[in-house]
Formats: sequence, structure tokens, C-alpha cells
Amino acid sequence: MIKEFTKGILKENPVLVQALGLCPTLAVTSTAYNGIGMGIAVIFVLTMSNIIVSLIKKTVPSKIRIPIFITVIATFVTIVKLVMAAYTPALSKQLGIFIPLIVVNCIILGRAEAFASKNGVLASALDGLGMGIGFTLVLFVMGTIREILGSGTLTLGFPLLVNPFTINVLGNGYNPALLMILPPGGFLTLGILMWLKQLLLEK
Amino acid sequence: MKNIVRLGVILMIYAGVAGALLGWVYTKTAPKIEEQARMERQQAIKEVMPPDAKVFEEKTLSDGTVVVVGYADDAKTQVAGYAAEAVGTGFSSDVRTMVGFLPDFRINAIKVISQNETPGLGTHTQDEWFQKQFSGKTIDELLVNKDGGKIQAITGATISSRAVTNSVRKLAEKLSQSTELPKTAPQTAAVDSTQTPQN
Repeated sequence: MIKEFTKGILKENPVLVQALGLCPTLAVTSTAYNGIGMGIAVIFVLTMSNIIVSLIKKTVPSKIRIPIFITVIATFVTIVKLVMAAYTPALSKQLGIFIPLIVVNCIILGRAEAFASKNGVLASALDGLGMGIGFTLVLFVMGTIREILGSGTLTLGFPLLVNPFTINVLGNGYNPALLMILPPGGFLTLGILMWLKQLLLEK
Repeated sequence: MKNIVRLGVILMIYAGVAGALLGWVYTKTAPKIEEQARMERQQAIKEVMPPDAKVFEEKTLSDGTVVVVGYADDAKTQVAGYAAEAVGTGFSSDVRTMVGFLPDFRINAIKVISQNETPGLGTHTQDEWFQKQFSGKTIDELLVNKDGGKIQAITGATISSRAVTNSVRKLAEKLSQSTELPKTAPQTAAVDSTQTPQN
């Protein structure tokens, strides 16, 4: 059972191995803070939708399973959006359009279809949690690398996301490599991470 | 046929449950979201008002525009500045900007308070360097450089830049011509506009 949880972190990492959800991965990781925020939203939506999909799998006719899965996912995404707007307005502003876009994040529908609709509730919850954490780790690492190189700073929140603060990592003399927070920097960072993962797994 | 109805009813039940759940969450979060928006507005007004404005008074013009008048003294004789919201149609959303004016209707400062423009392009309207260049500009200078003004448009986001600039300009024209606002003779206090970035 524990394997269902750990597989998403490295061995079947949604971003680095399955190459799912690349759009938000590339788009929001201009700061570490955004990466964690997006990641946590995805952990919540993915775990909840996996649980619900697993619970209702017997009552869902296979012909209309996709619209029903999407309804479940969209409901949780909207909840996340409303709660974020109410309690972490700064983050909600930063992530803007990417939160509603979680609905079409293929990781979530992918796990509902490939795993939760065929497995038990606990296994599905662990799968969702593990995949979500794997996704978050990649986003956090990418955000950290891109922000430090691209802006010379590191933005984190304490606790977790509530009070964002920025550390000036490389000092004022640093001339930021703007490329890193622009789209090419996202592709470069993602490519390097995929390469590193390959090195790790081949051993 | 029977099958279609059955599937439709099942889908409807799922959608109904989801809708009810969302309705409940909405009623719980709506007051809090409204409160955040109100606080943010207050904060934005404070940020764009000239620093010598101490007493604020809200005025609604006959066309519905809400203008906050800032006075330098408690007796409300000396107008220190104005703040009002400008709305422009951008690339993919309405861009709302809080604009602070000096008594002579030059811009004191602006703050983009909400937009849903293209991430990475139009969203840069919220960047400090873009907003800073408005400080000290007169109405005639309020055009993006492509249109012959003094506002440097954001690379790749001319439409968003124009949305902000033109809405600010329109607001400035409206307020400066309005006869409903309390006004005082132009002051000598000047805003330092020499730090405007040129790139």
C-alpha cells in the first residue's frame, strides 16, 4: 500500500516521468512561492477527486464517466479558488488563471481514469497524495532555481503560504538572468531536472 | 432512448450535488472575499494619494464615478489630491487601476488593482517600473509611446499597456473638467519624475 504513495514522488513522478501537467509546471514556477501554492492546490484537488471518484466508481456508467469525473474535479477546483480568494488573496492574485486551469490539468483526470476508477478508496487517496506531492516537489525545485537565478530572490510563505516574504539571496549586486523567469528558463530547468531524474533512476 | 434519459438523469444528480456543495462554500467565503476586496481598495487609495492628504472624503459624481478627495487639513479647505478608479478594456479582461491625482490633476501614482491579462505579458502592468512612470505625468503625456505619449509600453503587451494608460487619461480628463469636485489653486509641490525608467 505504501508503494501507491511513494511511486508518485520519483519513480512515476507526474511531471518528470509521465510528463503530465506541463503547462502549469512551466507557467507558474517563476517563484518558489507560486510553485508551492500551485502544488498544494493540486495536492488537495487530486487527493479529494481521487477519493470521490473511487467512492462513486460503481455508480458511474462508463459512457458518462468523463463528464462526471470533470464535474467532481471542477467542484473541488472551485472550492480551492474561493477559499484561496478569501484567505490568501495575494496568492490567489499571483496564481490567477492557473487555479481554474487545474480542471484541465491532465494529471488529475489521468489519475481518476487510470487509477481511482479501478482501485479502492485508501489506495486512491494515497495515490493522489503521492502524485500531488511529486508534482509539488518538482514545482518547488523549479520555482527555487528559476527565482534565484532569474530575480536573485527567494519568496516563501510562513506558515507555508500565509505570510509571503522575500529573501534577497544573491544580494543587490546580482544582475538577474531574466531569461530564467521567462518561458525559455522554464523549459531549460525542466529539461535539466528530467535529465537528473534519468541519471538517478538508471543507477 | 431510455438509456439516454437514464444517463442524463444520473449526470444531473451528480451536477446537482456538486452545485449545492458549491453554493454552500460560496455563501461561507463570499463575505470574506468582499472584505478582502474592500481592504485592498482602501490600501490602494492610501498608496496612490499624495502623502500630505490626511482627511479622506468620498464623493459620488452625477455619472456614478466615486472619487475620494484627500484634504491636507482637518477643516477640509486645502485639497491635497484625489483618487478614483479607472477601468480599461485590455487584451483578455477589464483592467482596473486606482489612480491618485495631485490637485492640478497631474498623476501622483497609480496602482493596478485587478486584471486577468496574459500571464507573463499583460500581467506586467502590475510591475512597479510600469506603474512608476505615471508619476508626475500631465494629461497630455498620458499616452503610450507608440501613440506619441510618454508611457513606455510593455514589450509584447501594448494592448494591456494602452488599456491602463488610456483609462487613466480618460479619468484625468473627466475629473479635471468636473465642476462637482472641490478644487484649490494649483500648488507648487512637484513630484520627482526624474527617476522614470527609460527602457
